Amino acid sequence: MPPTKQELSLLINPLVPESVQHNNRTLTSLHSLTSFLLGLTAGILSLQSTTGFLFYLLGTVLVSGLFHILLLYRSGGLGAGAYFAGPNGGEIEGMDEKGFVMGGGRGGGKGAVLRRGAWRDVWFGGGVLGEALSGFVLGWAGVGGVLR
Amino acid sequence: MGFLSRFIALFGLVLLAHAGYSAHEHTLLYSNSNSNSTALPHDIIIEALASLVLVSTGLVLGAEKLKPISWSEWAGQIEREGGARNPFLRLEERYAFWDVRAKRKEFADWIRGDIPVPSPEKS
Repeated sequence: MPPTKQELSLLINPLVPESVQHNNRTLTSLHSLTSFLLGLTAGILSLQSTTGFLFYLLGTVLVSGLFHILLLYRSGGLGAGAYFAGPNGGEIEGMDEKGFVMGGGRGGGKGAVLRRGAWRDVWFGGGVLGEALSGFVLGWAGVGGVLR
Repeated sequence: MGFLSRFIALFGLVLLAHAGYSAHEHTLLYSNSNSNSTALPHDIIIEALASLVLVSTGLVLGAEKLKPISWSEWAGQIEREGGARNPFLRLEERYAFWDVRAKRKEFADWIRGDIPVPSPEKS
């Protein structure tokens, strides 16, 4: 059986597990902090049921967007692929079955390797639908209970 | 980036606290009046939203710096910076050639008591 794209990617260009963990931890702590703040704001605005969750969605999109902009700025336009492994476990962007990287992906000009689908880690990762959501509900209910 | 982000986040938190206090006072005052409108005034809503944007901007700016995940880039960065973070430091900084025979002879002379103690810089 030929090796899958992911295995080839990891052979050609291995990941550093410590760095992956560090980046994911940074993202998770950022999301848990901001979602608690979102909860406080939702409580102050006294939002109800669906509106509150919609507010959480919009706020998370805002935070992820800011984070992505900062990431683009700091990496010189490379994007999330240089810092997050993506859902495919570190598959290189634009690679075929034989291990040739077509056009070098978007970062080809700079000699950098980007991982496929890494933007998904920035926008949906970091516990957005898990721990961060519970922090949001905590802040929302707490402030809502105190203020009303 | 550190001071600026902290300042923005702190300012946003102050705004948020003020918005919360205002909302509290508003509900206290309007619960006694006859009018049933408990909707918040626009300025409190705008203040809360602005503070949210400020605090999240400050937190995002103040987030820890991300590290490159590709081994090649990471290793290159370490190589350029140097220092104790390099895991291959033990291999890269080693002693040069070492004259084993001369050292053995020195030791033998010393243990026989011919020469007192060889000076350390004479290697």
